Amino acid sequence: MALASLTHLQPLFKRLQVRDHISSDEMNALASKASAIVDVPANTDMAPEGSRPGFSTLVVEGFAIRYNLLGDGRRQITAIHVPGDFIDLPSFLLKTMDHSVAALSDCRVVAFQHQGLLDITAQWPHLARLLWLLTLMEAGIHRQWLVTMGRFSALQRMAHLVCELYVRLETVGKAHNGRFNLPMTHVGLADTLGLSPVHVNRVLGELRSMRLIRWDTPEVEILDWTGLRRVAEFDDSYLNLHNEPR
Amino acid sequence: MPRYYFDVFSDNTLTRDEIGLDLRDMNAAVAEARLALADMSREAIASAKLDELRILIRDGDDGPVLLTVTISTEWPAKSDGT
Repeated sequence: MALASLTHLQPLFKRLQVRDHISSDEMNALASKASAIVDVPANTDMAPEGSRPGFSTLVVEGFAIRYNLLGDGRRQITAIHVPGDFIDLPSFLLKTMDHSVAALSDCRVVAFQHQGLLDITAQWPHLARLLWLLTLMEAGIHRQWLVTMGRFSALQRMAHLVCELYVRLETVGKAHNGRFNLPMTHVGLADTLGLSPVHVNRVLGELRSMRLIRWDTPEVEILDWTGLRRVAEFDDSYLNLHNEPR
Repeated sequence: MPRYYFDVFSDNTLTRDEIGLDLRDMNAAVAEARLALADMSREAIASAKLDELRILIRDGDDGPVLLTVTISTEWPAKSDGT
């Protein structure tokens, strides 16, 4: 099993550098607590509901999801994670998983033992605040999803998801010129947006016919950013993209 | 599992399904179409610009099966008391 280096942590550093200054000592401190790099095949559960992981994982390549299963077997995806996201930082303090985390596509992840995170929070108060910031940013995304799922039309929900993923992926250098890859089926999108797969198909058709996006799975291309933002009522303030001391 | 395609007609436009869904049988496909109609009707009724939604289920052997939801608004007849 390969050990993680500073290079592997670049997506996390990019995310943090958008929001604050992070010193090279802090980067080295984080890297020193990173243990194994693991390649996880698509559709593999990484931290199932009810489990007690001894480590937290950072996505460095690919996509991961959080989901809950309903009594009748249906699935609700509650978060999509992109490179630079610490997917189960919650398990560091919540201990027992109250939902499942799975690889959506083939993923490369870096594991941080909880003991290592404990050492970081004890010795590096600014890094502890940045880890705290990451969980607050995640909560901000969850709040926005609540508004979107609760009040927006199907068309707006889909448009909003595309806008959000583009901005998040661009931050970590995984989206360029309006294009990014989203390895998700219509069933996956339906489980994310709380719609039926047939409705997802219709909404994608509508966005295409409005000339807002092009979608040749897995590549998404935004053809009209202003128009898409307008449909989605997308305001990126919840993504906390400003740089200031934390 | 056979693959079923769900073409949606609404607002005078057809969204042709090129991807389809793998489902157990036509009964499961009809259930999926009803779920989609339930989903779509909510917005259609609220927006008041749509009166009919149709889903045509296509597959190789069975079908096509057509499901239609119609919303009608009936106004009282005008009296001739002039």
